[in-house]
Amino acid sequence: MAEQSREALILKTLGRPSPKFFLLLAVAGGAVAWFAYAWSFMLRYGMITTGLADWGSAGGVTWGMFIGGYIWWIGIAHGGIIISAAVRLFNLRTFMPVARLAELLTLCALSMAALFIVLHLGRPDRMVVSIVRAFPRAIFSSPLAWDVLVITLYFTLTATYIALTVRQDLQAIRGGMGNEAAVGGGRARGGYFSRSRLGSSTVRGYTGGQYAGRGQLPALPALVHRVLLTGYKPEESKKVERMVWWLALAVIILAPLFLHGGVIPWLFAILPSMPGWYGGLQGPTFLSIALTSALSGVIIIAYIFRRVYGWEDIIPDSVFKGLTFFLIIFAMLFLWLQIQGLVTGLYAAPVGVEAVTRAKVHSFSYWLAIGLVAVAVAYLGAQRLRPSLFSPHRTFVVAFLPLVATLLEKSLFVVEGIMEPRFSLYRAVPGAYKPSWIEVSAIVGTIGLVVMFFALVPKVIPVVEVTTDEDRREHNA
Amino acid sequence: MLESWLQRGQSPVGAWLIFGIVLLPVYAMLLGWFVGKPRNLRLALMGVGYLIAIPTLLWGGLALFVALLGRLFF
Repeated sequence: MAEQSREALILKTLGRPSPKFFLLLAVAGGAVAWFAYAWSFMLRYGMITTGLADWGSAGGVTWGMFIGGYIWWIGIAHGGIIISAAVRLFNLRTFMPVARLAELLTLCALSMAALFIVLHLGRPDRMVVSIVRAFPRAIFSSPLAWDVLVITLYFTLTATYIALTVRQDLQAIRGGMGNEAAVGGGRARGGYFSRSRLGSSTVRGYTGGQYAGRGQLPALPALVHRVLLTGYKPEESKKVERMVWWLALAVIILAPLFLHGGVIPWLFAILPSMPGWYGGLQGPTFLSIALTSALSGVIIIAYIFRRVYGWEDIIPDSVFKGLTFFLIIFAMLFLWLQIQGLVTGLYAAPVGVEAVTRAKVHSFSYWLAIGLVAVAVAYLGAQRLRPSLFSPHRTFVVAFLPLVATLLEKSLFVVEGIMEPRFSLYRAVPGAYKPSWIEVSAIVGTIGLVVMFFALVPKVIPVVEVTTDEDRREHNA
Repeated sequence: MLESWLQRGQSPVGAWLIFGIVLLPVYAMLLGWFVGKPRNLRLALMGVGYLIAIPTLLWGGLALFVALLGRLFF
């Protein structure tokens, strides 16, 4: 594939939307509107509408799918940027085409996770009034304050990462990187780019087509490009590359070891009054399921982009094979950790641990979750052993299984953990937990928001890095 | 001293854990930005600017959003 056409293919996302695009926005917008209605209902009549507001209506459960959804989204978020950081640090070039999609997934999934915290608080103003006010004292002892700090940090690092890498990319497509080694079409200027000054909204490689063939971007993307490129100097490329490397190093240590393998599970794992949550096994378990769901999410998004934009050459089969390989490893790790928990929880466990483990093994949702992950591992493993079984389409379909399983498993983890405290504290509490329509609407609505995000962001920035490693090396030399 | 902190429910474990361990990779990153080669103070400061501006926008936006919800519903 010629370099020039690669660039043009990538920039197709910035083109004029098709009717199907508006249909997708309408469907996703419908889900979001329904969620907004559900939330406004809860705000108007109080959290009692969810059954989560007291100890008397749902068997003692006050943490339900809002917290389950929070863990689910945050798990999806954590894997995305790890993939991208690994691409830079360990030179995993195979995954380069999906690196930015993974970064974007991190950004929007983290936002969804934060939204679930806002929902869970009942009164959204508590997010600022209570948390911000208490933060300077709470940071010394409260895992909730650590959580807020670390999620904010993670969002900031991810957004900075994207801003720095996009900056380089945008300059490359707008005017080259300042010399003859400019990227892609820069070597074959021809009918593409003309001006290199900032402020131009003409984009090389973006022939526009729909925009009178002048390569003129619409106003909003052009404005975003100008803001992101503020103060750009051609000689900054090498330094930015190093800064991104350091950022990737921080992320790859921080995300698995201290975030989804640390602060997030510590919200639960340090509570001895809740045997279902307590213990050091939670860190590895959270991390394994987070990486499993994140890889599934990246596979799904990468496949959809490949299908919609005809990116068979941009995101080749090897990307899906590689992602599948890691998905199998982390899903098997998750299953192995489940066996550890079941054996230790059923054989001769303390009373509280045995009670919650027994409740888990009698739950249909638990076995459904385990079954979905097992089926995914079995099928994807068979694909690896027998390559004729492989197809990106089947991989895409199977990738939904771990995602659904994670949502089930994490919601169950939260609910059963709280239903089975030490000394069976809530034994006499009436009722039983089942997700309210508001909680389910929140899950559907946040999925709608993510769909809208992935429909709209590609209209503003390229979602695959236009600058290749060779371009950067050539330019830096 | 630790005992007295614990008795008063003011364990400093979070300070050590977060600022002493969890944030270590971030300190390393900042060090790399400022003293790593090639050196470029302007870009390192720009990076720090991102690290300050993004959470400010995030929490500022959130504050406005929840204030709006507060006005509408409470």
